[in-house]
Amino acid sequence: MENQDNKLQDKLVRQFADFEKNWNGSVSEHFRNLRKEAIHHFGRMGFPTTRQESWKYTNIKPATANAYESAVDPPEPISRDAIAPYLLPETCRLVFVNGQFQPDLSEIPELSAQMVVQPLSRAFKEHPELLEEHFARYGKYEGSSLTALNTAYADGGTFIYIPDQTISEHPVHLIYLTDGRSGHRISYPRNLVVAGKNSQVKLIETSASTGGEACFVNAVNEVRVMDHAHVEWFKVQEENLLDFHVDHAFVNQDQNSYCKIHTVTTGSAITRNDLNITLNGSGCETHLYGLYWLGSKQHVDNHTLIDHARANSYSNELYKGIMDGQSTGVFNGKVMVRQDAQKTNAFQSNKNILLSDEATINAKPELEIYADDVKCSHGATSGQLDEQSLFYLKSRGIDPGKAAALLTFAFASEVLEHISVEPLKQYLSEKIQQRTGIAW
Amino acid sequence: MLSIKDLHVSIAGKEILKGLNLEVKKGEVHAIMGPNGSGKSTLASVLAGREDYEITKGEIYFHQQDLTEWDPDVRAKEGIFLAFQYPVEIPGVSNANFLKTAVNEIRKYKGLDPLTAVDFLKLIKEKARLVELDASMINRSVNEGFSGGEKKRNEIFQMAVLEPELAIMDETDSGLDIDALRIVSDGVNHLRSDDNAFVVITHYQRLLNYIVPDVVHVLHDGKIVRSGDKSLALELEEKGYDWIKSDPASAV
Repeated sequence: MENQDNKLQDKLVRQFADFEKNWNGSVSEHFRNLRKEAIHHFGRMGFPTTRQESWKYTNIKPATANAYESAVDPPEPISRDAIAPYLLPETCRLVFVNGQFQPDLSEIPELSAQMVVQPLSRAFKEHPELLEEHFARYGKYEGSSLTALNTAYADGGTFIYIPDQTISEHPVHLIYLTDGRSGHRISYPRNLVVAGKNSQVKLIETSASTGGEACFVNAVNEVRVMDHAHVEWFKVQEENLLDFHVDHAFVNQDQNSYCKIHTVTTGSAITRNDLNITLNGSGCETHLYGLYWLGSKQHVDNHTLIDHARANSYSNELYKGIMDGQSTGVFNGKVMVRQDAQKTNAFQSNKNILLSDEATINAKPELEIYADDVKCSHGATSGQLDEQSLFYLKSRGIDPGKAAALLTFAFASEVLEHISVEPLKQYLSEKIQQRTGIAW
Repeated sequence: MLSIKDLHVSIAGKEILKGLNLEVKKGEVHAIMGPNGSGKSTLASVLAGREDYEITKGEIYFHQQDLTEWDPDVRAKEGIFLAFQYPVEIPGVSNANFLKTAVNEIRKYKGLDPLTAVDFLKLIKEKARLVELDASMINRSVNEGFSGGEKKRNEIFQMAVLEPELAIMDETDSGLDIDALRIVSDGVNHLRSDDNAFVVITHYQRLLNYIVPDVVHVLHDGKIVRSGDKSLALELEEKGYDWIKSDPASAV
């Protein structure tokens, strides 16, 4: 395994030279240097191993055992049918297959003045100043070799720029489809979102796959939320069970801004989500919601970090998990309250239901508090469905299996309730209902 | 309808019911009164099929069938309903979805087609009126954030929707103010018929002013020590449970 690990690492470093050649001088010196430094960093660090504290419970060796072809290969044609299940009405939609933008499957309506929603590859050419100002500024790769790898290769992804005082009328829906039909593929989705002062935007990010061979998605997201801006971001991860999904997100919030992130995970063999939220200004509000429902031998690892740097901010975190089969889960929620962050309110809760004796969850809250006038709390639970509630349902004539399904759905719906895009809430609610086997 | 013979029940090795006998016929309302710890709630729980209770001796028949082996949902499908003393809150499941599931599960058991959405809604509205429940509460989560009185009314509302043959009310009156007590009682009186029966478990006589029983039983130390008509409840109210406790022999 150690060998295969290095083999893929060497191959990815080696292939960078070919990737570089394709630029044909179209990339500025700034980005050339950045990407080179990033690939060198990845070459030095390699893939994370369980010897690193933050990867202790997530072994990604199975993900690095395949001979992936680079995502720059042109994908096979994808029909509309393949994305049909994920479509939502009235959105600004961008579709990518193995990281390649698909104009025919995308639909970008007329946008508010000055607002930009475009593939990152085009943004490098059309908005070089904005990219130089923001790209890789929030997502520092020094602490994460996978972020470095993404930074070196990223051109598939979306640039979203909401100017000051602008409200995005439609939610932006990004669909990242992984196509493993003609072999193992690796892709590097990279999204950069800049929400200007007092702006508002909702984003939906769907990660799905068409099947075939196992694929590896190594995503990085950067979000800057300026003064009084309001960003909501819904991540739906439903790739097939052979795939691997790693996602590093870096959110920087300025004063009085609002950010809400939902992460719903039902797919992939291994999923790792790192949400790094930095509250640089005072008066920020942050909500993180997570829902994961795993079976068979699936694994999910949600790492969150909320860094309260200034006073009077509020953060609230609720992650819920339903674990079946021999699935394994990790929740690691770190809240940092720095010395200047007086009057911080930070709440965190992780609740898990184990539907099977063989499923396991590791929950680790980490509170690091350097200010003295704060309110912080955390809690983690894991267990079975509540016996009293089961009995109550059964005593009304509902058979035991259905009673369990109802309670499981109820458990999940606490997270779905906070989704403000109604068609998405409906979509996820139906998905959960189907999985529980409820029909009403 | 219901026939309990020499019932002995233990929980965690401690015997609570010690030879209880009870016969309930169609069309009857039985009140079971008794001091705290006499085994009233245990009787209700055992009838509904709560798992932690162990029947060590005796028999329970429902329509000449041994019900002790039935799962709780089967008991409900066969027509037994327990109005809980402490109804459970179930966040995330709406009253409507909960009841629709229950109604249709019971219908399926009886070989009936599921109710259509329209018919179900009609049923719900009609029964909600009966217990003066606000229609908006139908879409709220089961009992979540309900006051004590609302929870009890919701129990009677469910009873009205499911139309059981045998309804067991476990201290439904506890914690009710006089208005809620009247609403709950009116609901029950409306549901009384020649085809069903009620077992009303209560600590106080007060409820029996509204739901007038055919038979009153006094439970003490796991046994029914005295049975009589509704005047027994009044006598008990007057003399207190010490009367029974000090002289259980006079009961027989």
